[in-house]
Amino acid sequence: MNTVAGTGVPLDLYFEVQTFLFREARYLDDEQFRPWLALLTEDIHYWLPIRENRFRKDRRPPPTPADSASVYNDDLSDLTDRVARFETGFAWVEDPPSRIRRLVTNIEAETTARDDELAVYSNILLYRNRRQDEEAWFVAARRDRLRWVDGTWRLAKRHIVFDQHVILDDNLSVFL
Amino acid sequence: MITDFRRLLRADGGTQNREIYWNEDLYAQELEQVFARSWLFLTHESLIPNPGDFITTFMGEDRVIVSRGGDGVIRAFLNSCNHRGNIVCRADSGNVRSFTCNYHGWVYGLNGDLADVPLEKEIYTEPLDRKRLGLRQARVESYRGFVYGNFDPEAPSLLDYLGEMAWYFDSFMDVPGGAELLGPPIKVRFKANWKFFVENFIGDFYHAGWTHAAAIKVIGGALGMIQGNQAVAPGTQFATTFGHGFNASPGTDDLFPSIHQGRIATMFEDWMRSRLPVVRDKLGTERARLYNAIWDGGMFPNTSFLRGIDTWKVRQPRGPREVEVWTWTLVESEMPEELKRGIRHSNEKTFGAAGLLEGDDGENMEGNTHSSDGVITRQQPLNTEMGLGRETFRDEYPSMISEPADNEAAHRNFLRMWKTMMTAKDWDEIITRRRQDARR
Repeated sequence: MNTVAGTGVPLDLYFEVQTFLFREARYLDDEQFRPWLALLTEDIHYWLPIRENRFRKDRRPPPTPADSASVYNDDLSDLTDRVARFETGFAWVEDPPSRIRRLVTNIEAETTARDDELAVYSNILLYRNRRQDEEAWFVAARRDRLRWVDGTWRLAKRHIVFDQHVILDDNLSVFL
Repeated sequence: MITDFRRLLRADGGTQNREIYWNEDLYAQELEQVFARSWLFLTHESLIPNPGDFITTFMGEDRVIVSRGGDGVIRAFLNSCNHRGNIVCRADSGNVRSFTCNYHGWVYGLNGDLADVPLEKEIYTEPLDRKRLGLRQARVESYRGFVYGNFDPEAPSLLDYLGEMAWYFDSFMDVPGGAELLGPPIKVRFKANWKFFVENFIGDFYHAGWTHAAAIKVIGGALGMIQGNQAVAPGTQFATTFGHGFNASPGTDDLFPSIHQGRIATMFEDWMRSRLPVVRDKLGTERARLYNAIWDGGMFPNTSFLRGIDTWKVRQPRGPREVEVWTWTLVESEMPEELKRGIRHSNEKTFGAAGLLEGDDGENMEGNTHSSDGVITRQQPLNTEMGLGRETFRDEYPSMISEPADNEAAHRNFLRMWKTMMTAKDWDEIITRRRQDARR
């Protein structure tokens, strides 16, 4: 069996992971939110904590979902509410719609203690262009868990490491 | 300094020249006349509980360090070295023994005093005057754990500046154990004038049913009735002497209005049900009604808050056309941890950086601001005449009120306070003029 050196992950599995992430990005770029929700496990945890400037010698432990200020700290029902808001026809901020494109790179996959889960790392660059000329660029790393459920990969966990302190555009109402 | 405000704001506050939201000179005057003389929210005591704990923030555009000294006292002082002006502390929060400037290593104590200058004896001809070279202090006062700073030695006390607002704040701050904030703040930059954001919370219940129609449809609950402007919500608008104000739509003994969902909504209701009699005993019927109400409000000049959504925000000005919005979560200290966490999540989901409702507001505020880039558009006055003439007083409340909650009385009052500060020479004049205004 050919594996990606140093990861224990077979090559074909690595390509499945890559395909999963690219398809997910396309669903989101194309506002296919219901198919995107179908890629998530029932117990998905989707987390984007804010990042404070702390001194290197600061001894406080890094924030956890239980004690951090977050932009997203969502379960499936929260994410479904966000999608439902888009679908009401009253979400004026997305009407006319923004132009959004995601570039997903630096993909790595590693085996985990669970037979049915992979640890997946990737970076994302999201470009948002709105109205006449409003531009935003968002860059983040993602620490994912993909789980094999009923013959298909699903996203079970995403920790988004977002590379801004002050969020430099109106909102982060985009899935990263 | 611009002194003729007759063309900028109608005497009753009901129409505005758009210039007040874009003019660079007026903005510079705001920093001097408003921000450098007002009590500005800094942090909550519970966020810096131990000696050496600090946060860094802004008062207007002035960077400040807020730190708890070895003596337990909270102080606020400029975050700029008195040698060459460099920023002394670049972390957002932490715990330190002192603050050391990166440029030459000058060291300031937790109280802002200059504590050490490297090689001082060897290189200075005379010993440095340490007193003169300490970091400039702001006055710091707390109201029920909420910490404010003021750079004007002549300003009234924080309690006097809050005025009638203190009585209202007590509805949720003077409960057993008090209220506190969960941090650190989430910070988002918008291309809008800071006043639009403050006004939107202080006196604009009207927008909620339309701007937030999509989010309210999804969340449902107590606000569901106003979704898509189907109905006018019951409620009252309150406007205080020094420009603070809010709307409140009260609940009943069976209805505990909030934006929380699912399990947290149930926990919140149970909490309110158990607390309501306690609050009624301690503070009386009127404030028990306010305790059990959904509020949107603000403190002059740049603090905003929501009760029942439980958000606390500061609008940090960044020029006339930009603002940074900082968001904390407002909870009662004695709430169980799970409820606090749930309220934090619900606040972040609705009014955080990807908030279901926050995202709706930002673009409106930016549109309000930037449409006035056009020189003809600038000539069109803006309007806040809703409820004009309905301002009144009632025995049970200490300040002016107006009904219903869909009203612009608190907008007008905020802007009249703003005009007073922009033109008054000192706090004596501000107080005299505002007391006259409050009797209108």
